[in-house]
Amino acid sequence: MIKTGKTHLLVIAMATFVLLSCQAAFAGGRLLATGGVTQVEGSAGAGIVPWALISGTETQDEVGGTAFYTHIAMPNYGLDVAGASIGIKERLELSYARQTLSIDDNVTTPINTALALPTNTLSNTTLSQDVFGAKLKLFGNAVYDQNSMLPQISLGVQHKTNDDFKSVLGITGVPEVLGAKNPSGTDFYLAFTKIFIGGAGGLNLVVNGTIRETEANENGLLGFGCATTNAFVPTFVCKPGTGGYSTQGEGSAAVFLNPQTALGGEYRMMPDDLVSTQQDAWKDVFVAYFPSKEFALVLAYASLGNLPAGIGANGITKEQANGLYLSGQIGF
Amino acid sequence: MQTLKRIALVAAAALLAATIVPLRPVAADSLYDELGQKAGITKVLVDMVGFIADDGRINHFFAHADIPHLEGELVDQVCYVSGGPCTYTGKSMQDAHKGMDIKEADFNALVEDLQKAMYKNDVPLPVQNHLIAALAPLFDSVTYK
Repeated sequence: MIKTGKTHLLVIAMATFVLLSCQAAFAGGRLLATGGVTQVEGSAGAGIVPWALISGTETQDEVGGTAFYTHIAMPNYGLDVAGASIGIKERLELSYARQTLSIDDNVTTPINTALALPTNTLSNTTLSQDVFGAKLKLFGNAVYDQNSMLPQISLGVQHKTNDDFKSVLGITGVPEVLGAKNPSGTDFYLAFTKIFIGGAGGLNLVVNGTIRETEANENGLLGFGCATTNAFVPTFVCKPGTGGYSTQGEGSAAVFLNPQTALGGEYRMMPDDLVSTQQDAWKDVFVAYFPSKEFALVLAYASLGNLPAGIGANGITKEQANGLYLSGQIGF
Repeated sequence: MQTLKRIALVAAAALLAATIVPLRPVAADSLYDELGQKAGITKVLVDMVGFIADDGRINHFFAHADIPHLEGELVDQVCYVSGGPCTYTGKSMQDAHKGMDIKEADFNALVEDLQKAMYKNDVPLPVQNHLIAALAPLFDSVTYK
């Protein structure tokens, strides 16, 4: 559900984007595909992992950016993400993305019944969050430093605010019922990206590793942290020994079959703090196609791990949320 | 503890992936052969100079260049970099580009013209990539001088 305040924010973000894109008329000096694509939180990367690359087609003398839309279609869930970024002199990336997870009535209707709520109270449930990102390139150059093994290293931050922590039912929201502690949180990450030109039997190879400090449940869609007491379902609290920030590892590798087409895979560990759910690693395999510097298309098969599938005899049931991932990006 | 173990696993996998892929799998001398030795290199670079002449982004850098001399120097350099029996006798890269203020976008434009020339001469993609990898470190000695 988009509230007026959020709409204003989106309009401001888009206006800034358009304004900067006019000023950056001379961007485009970067080599094809070296800005990557946009991952689900709006940062330059691949599909689910942020990379050390700075978004856009700009060089160190220019200002560039991207706009993107991503949809992941899973049997009982759909994740839509839209956003934009500004890349400043290949040094600083500022990004905004809005994620909306739609939950099918197959999942919500049994919960609706179990909680004895009025019919269709939970129908068309969505969980949305805003992600504001910033990424600073610290050192290294993923492309030109071919005579060394040193990667490009960037430090990133993603501040997320979940809109639906308390909004469903007018009483509370899904994240709070499931035992999340906070409606907003901030992730910090270090990304290491290296392009090995000709590194995979003559084909170009991209290797990325990212280390993230986070307390986000399902990347924030299920809120942040875990509560020690829960007024709604007393057992839905922190798993023993969890809570607060934890360190998670993420990795990607891709091979360019030709200058326009990359084939890759990713793995992203997730905290697993909530008793109510089982959070697994996110994974994907993808094909990215760059017909020109200005456009990119990504087709992937993604897994967002186990998501709640309804209510069974032993409480909330889970199922693998796997599906087709489609993303389009324009860059300038 | 569980998390640390998982991180160690991911890190180990990444390290393994990095070590099984050597930086330049083809030995330097075979790159010279794969480029078609001096004759092949000359064809590519003459075409590249042609593309540069038509490239409004960077042709101004070469407005006063002695083209046959430039082509000769480029051939010598690529021959040398690819492991061929040539010696580059021109100025150092830093000196040759001093005061030109070549920017990243200019360097990339030249890379694109080189790629076009290699495609025109049917240079296989792995050979193209190996040459670009060998030339990429020139970025630091050529740009912003």
